[in-house]
Amino acid sequence: MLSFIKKYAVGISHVEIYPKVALIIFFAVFLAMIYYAFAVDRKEIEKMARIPLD
Amino acid sequence: MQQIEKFSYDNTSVRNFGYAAFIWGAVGMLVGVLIALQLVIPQLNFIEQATFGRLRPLHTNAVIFAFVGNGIFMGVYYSLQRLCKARMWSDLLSKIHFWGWQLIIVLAAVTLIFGITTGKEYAELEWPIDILITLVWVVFGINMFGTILTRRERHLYVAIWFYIATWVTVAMLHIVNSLELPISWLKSYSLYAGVQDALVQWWYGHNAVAFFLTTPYLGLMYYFLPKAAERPVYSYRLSIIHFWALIFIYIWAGPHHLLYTALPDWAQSLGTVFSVMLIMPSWGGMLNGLLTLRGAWDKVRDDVVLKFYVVAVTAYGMATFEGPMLSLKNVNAVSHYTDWTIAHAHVGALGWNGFLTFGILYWLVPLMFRTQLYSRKLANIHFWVGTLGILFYAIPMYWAGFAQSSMWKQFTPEGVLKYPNFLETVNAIIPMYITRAFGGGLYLIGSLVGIYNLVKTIRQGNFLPNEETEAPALAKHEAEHAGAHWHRWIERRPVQMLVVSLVLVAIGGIIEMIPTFLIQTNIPTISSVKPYTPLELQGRDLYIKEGCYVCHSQMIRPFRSEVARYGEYSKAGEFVYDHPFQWGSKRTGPDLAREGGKYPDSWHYNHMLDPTTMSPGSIMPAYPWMIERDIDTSTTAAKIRAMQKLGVPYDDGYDKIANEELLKQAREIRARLKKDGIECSETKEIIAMIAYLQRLGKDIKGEQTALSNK
Ligand code: HEC
Repeated sequence: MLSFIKKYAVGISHVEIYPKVALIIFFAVFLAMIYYAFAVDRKEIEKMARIPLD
Repeated sequence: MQQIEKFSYDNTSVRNFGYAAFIWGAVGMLVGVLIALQLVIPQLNFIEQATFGRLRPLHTNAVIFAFVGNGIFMGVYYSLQRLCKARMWSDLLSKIHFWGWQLIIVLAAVTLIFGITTGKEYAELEWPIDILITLVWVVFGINMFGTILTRRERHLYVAIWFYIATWVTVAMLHIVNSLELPISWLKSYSLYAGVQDALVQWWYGHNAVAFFLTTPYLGLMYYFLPKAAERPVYSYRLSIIHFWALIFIYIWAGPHHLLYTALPDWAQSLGTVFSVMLIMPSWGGMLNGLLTLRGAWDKVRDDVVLKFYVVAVTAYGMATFEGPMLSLKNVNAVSHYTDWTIAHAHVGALGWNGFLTFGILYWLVPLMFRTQLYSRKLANIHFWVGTLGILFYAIPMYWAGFAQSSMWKQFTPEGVLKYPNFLETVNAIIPMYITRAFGGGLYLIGSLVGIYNLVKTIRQGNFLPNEETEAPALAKHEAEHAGAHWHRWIERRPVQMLVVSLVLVAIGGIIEMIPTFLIQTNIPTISSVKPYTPLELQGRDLYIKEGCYVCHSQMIRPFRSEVARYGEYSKAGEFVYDHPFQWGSKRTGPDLAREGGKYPDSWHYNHMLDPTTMSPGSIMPAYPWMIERDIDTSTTAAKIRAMQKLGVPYDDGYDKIANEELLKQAREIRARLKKDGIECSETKEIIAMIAYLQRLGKDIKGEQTALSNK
């Protein structure tokens, strides 16, 4: 199976783009997550933080 | 008003996993101390089944999958039920999970000491056990998800996110890295070869550390630390960031295990960049743990559980600071292949995993047995002896790593290696090995004191198998109040959480691996590189069986010091027929990538029979049984056919004449040995071993390229 995929995919060129794609995806996820963390309601956060205690 | 439901928590499974954790923990540590001593007293390699090459994988597997594994399940089974306000979904699955995992451990122990191994670090178990692991892991997953889906608490506390990510990522890693072609019940070849195998292996190996030793334990930290401190975690917001950043970044960092190797440069750089970024979420998590105790430090002084947690979290911080540093190319150039890595691993294993596990046990056992800890004094002794053990282990190993590495690299003013004899650099660090064994011994003694204390506690207590409790049922549809946030979509929905985690971790793997697999130019082919002869192939399998790779690398980095010592540096194209790759990760002995032709056959014969005859003071085990035992030629044809399936270009029908070829080559070696006065039948294992060693690196010998002056 591996060799089958290989045969058709050797055409992929421009490996250089992979790290760039990686960086962009990374920052997108990172920003979305930071945005979320600060957007949640304070009361909600406190409620969730107390779950293990009750 | 919602209906109040009565139900009970299952403590029995928690208790069983806890017992298993400390029993296997003691076994794993005991083997650890034994192999530490073997490096000082090689005579301790007294029987075949207990040589360093076989026991070291046993030690790592026992500690990671048996000790920490059962520790994870203990903690998850306890906390998940409470966080979900629900009993584990199925008692039957809990039982199957428990006994299935213990069966895997026993099978692993037996196969490893008998040399049944795939030869890939931390994934040594052969394919039938791999399948069993997959099945048991799925059982665990169903049980966990069943519990989460029938929960009575709407929010999924952050610990559960860590458990979900752990489950899905470990499943992915295990399956991808274990793809192998069986040739019999107990032997298989990795589907990948050379560079690709190395990349997959270290993507796995690194993330086994990340998703088996780290994320589940972080989940445990987020539950058990606030519990013991009786206050919520310092910042729940930070824990959210910690989670997403960690699982997303970790998965990319694998290539930092392959810096300066034949792995393509861009993949190495990617690994470094993400490794350095890892420091942020890791330290965020550590601070979050430690700051939870702010204003409660007086408590830490009295409460031994919190003391264990504080050292554990601090060790996590140290190890995760060091990890990114070790990923910097110039640091890695010094640390790699040395005991520095071993020190780093043990700060994590002994400090973070070990101490967190014992902290949880000290808290959990009295609670479930409805009693007080038998002796606080003994627990404190355990704490201090264990802490000293960690220091006596880690400090000499850092020193050893640094000292040995600098000896490898020093040149005289005349421009030749200052320490051309590898063994000299080994003998210089033997005192550090002794101190390390002492440190490991201390840690083991501490653990045994801990186990004694826990057993006494259990004896005086009265176990509560089912903890009765009640909670309101979860309303099916909660009215969405205004301003409800989009993250709800995921934060309360475990299935979405699973899918998003999987996508995030898969992206890293895909982006790293696809190019290496698909683009031919990533692995330049070298026309002079030919498949192994049947005899060499059999020898190679003996090399794997004996675990030579735990002490020997086969990867010469492009440094002046390495080329001067070992010969031309390794090229990606040299490994295209290596199923599995054998680059190794630690040089307790010298690199063997260009061993072929360095010594006469008789040298290897004598050296394998007793290394000290050729290298006085050697700490390599002796392999006398190789001289007694016959090569198993019944497997030759099947091995050739398997290799053909994997794309190794043997001629059609070669499997039928393979054994003839094997004997022909074996007779030549016998004749050469005879010339040097050694009588040995051509059917013996040693002959195959010699054939393999003499082949290593020969394909491109004599070629020379410009190299960096490191
Ligand atoms: C405990 C670690 C350890 C294990 C396991 C081990 N070796 Fe060694 N090996 C060493 C050390 C240390 C040396 C250097 C001293 C010497 O020459 O004996 C060495 C040296 C060698 C050398 C000589 C290298 C040279 O160029 O001088 C060969 C060949 C070798 N080992 C092969 C093997 C094979 C094959 C196996 C598995 C069957 C094996 N070793 C297992 C530690 C180990």
